[in-house]
Amino acid sequence: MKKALALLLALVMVLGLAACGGNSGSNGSNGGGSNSGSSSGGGDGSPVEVVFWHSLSGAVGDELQKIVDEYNTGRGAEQGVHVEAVYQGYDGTDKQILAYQIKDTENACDINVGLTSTIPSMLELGWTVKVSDLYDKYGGWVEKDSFPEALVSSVSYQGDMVGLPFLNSTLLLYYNKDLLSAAGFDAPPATLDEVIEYTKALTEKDASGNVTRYGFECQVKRYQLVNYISSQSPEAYFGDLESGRGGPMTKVVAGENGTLKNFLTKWDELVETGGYQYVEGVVAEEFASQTAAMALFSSSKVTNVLGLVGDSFQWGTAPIPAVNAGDTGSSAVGGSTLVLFDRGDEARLKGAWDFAQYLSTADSQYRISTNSGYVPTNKEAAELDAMKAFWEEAPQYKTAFDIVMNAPANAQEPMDLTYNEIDGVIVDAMRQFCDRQLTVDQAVDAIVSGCNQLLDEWHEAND
Amino acid sequence: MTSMEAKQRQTRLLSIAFQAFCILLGLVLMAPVIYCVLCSFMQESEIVSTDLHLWPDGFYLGNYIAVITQTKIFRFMLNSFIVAFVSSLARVVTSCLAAYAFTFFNFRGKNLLFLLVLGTMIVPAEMLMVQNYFTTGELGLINTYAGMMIIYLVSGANIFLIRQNFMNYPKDVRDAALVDGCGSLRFFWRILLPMSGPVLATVFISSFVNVWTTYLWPLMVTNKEEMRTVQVVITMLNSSELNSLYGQVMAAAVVILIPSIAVFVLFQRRITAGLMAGAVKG
Repeated sequence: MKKALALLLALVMVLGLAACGGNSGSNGSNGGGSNSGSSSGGGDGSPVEVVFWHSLSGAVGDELQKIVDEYNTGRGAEQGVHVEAVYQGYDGTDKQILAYQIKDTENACDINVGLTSTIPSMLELGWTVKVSDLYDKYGGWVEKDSFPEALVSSVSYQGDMVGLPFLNSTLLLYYNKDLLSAAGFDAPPATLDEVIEYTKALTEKDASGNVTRYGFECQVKRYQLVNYISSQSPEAYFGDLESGRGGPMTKVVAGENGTLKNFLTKWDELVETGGYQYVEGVVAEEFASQTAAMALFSSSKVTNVLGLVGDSFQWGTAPIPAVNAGDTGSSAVGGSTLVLFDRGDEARLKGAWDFAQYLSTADSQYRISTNSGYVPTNKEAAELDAMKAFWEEAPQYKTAFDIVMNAPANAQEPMDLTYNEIDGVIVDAMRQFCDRQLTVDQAVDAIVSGCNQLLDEWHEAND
Repeated sequence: MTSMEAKQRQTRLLSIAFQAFCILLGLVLMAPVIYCVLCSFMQESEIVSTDLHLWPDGFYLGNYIAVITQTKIFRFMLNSFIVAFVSSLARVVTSCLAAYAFTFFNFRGKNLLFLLVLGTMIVPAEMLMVQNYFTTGELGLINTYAGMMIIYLVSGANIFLIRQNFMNYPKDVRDAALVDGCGSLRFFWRILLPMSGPVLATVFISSFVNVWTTYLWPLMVTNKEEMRTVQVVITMLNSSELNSLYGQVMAAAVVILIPSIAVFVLFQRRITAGLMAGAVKG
């Protein structure tokens, strides 16, 4: 009896021990949580191991892996660097913060793809190394001026370039050329007044008066709203301190500078058309299934829409229609950034810096862009024959690049500290506004006061 | 028709109506799973179609092929299996031993200890998640199977369930066995456990399914692809912002459902028996 019990307990112990050694076979290092420098090659001739956490899956994820593999066998081998790419979705930033909190250098990464809005949070981690410091210390073979001004601005905080631009996009108007043409329009709407006119003409209803096809679809959340603020002028900001890029934002200024009211006044007329769908399901799919003739969503969805639409109809992309004719701003540059970390091993940091630049070359950016819809972050990519040929064949991709190239520095998503909660305030207020429960002035007040309250609470807790 | 026949007919009709209602309720509950299986055989254009499209146009296997060839789903399933199996086995061992002590031994503070065990059942797991992460990290268990299963090795609910079951057992039999020279451990191993098969199976199976479907903790403590569990991978497939991968997500969900369903189908009777046995004695 005792023998059998002992056997059972032994089995559990053996399984437990086997489990403890779960990852030892894959990388040769295990547990400990110490910065043992297992990857700091060079001394024994082995390459330094750089861990790269990214957010790309599907076809573009496969292409990224090819770029990594080519680096490892080419430039990486020459430089003594080997990169391990790990797909983390957008959990990488949170995972890096968790690892930092327990100083677990062994299980952290050297490069993370994170949203630009997380840059202030990233700077609070002692491991984060600003790209401007890397340029100063090690120089760079991909120059700073390879990146468009708006993209450099998107990854900068308090004047310093914190990360490298990576996977950037902007808000676009997607329009169904066939439906517009049938309604007598030969160009996409350039202003919200035109959107209103087009929407009335493109909306279809059945005999009972139910809408069977919306003229226009766009649920206004934080992302869409800040685009419409920055589109009005190069001086238009959503929040103070250059929307948080000059320091922690303390209040929303879109109310006092009038841009929010300008936008809502026009949007009010759009809601009144009855042909505007203000609650999104899966907007790209809805546009592709012709539930809506026009829609606003990110340029990163171009490849997705191409696949969904196929040959069913002709479609195009255009800059977001301006609030008023004569507006001089631009839609905001959004997206992600490559943030680099020093895990206590300078060789690894230098390797990470080298690989981050490799990802920013014209060729890498061409390959990532053409498999996704993200704009190439390197201006020189536009000069590649292959890029030109690609844009010739699929002009929907080029719209976003042209916008980013010409965007002023303020055309950025804000660094608004509590972006998820601020998004919630804006979604709720805009929903009530579109449900006709709030007037223009009430909606302005709800958004400004709601966001300011969140910012006050953040400062109270963190200052 | 006699009144007896009329009554029998009425009873039969009621029975048919009740069974029809149960079947309908079952279908309603299963509808998402059935739709998931059907979607896994659809092409993306069928899934995103605005028309009501419940049945696939053909027997499209592309989603399954993509899941099998483009992801390491079998590796992830192995990870999930190791974590779920070892955790469940450990839970059975720890719960049995604790329940045995709570039921048959008398010692100072027994009731207080038992209340503490019960108290763990009302603390939300999410509340402990961050502190558990810190502890696991400081133990150097990030990216290890041990780190993934460490918080599942003991369960207050399982201790409670088994203790309630053991309380059904007459203490006189144990006293008689002890008088006859049977030791405590021998009684536990040779007499008590063999008679507690249903409740042990219940604990093992419910624990297996519970750990198999866990998402947040494995996500937190694993950063390497080869250590991921199936639930984490499914969510990552679903969060792709660039592509519509609904068909693949559904196909992967169907593949990972198979072990859970197999466990339930094989041990369904034992689970019911175990739960019932634990429910009747306070």
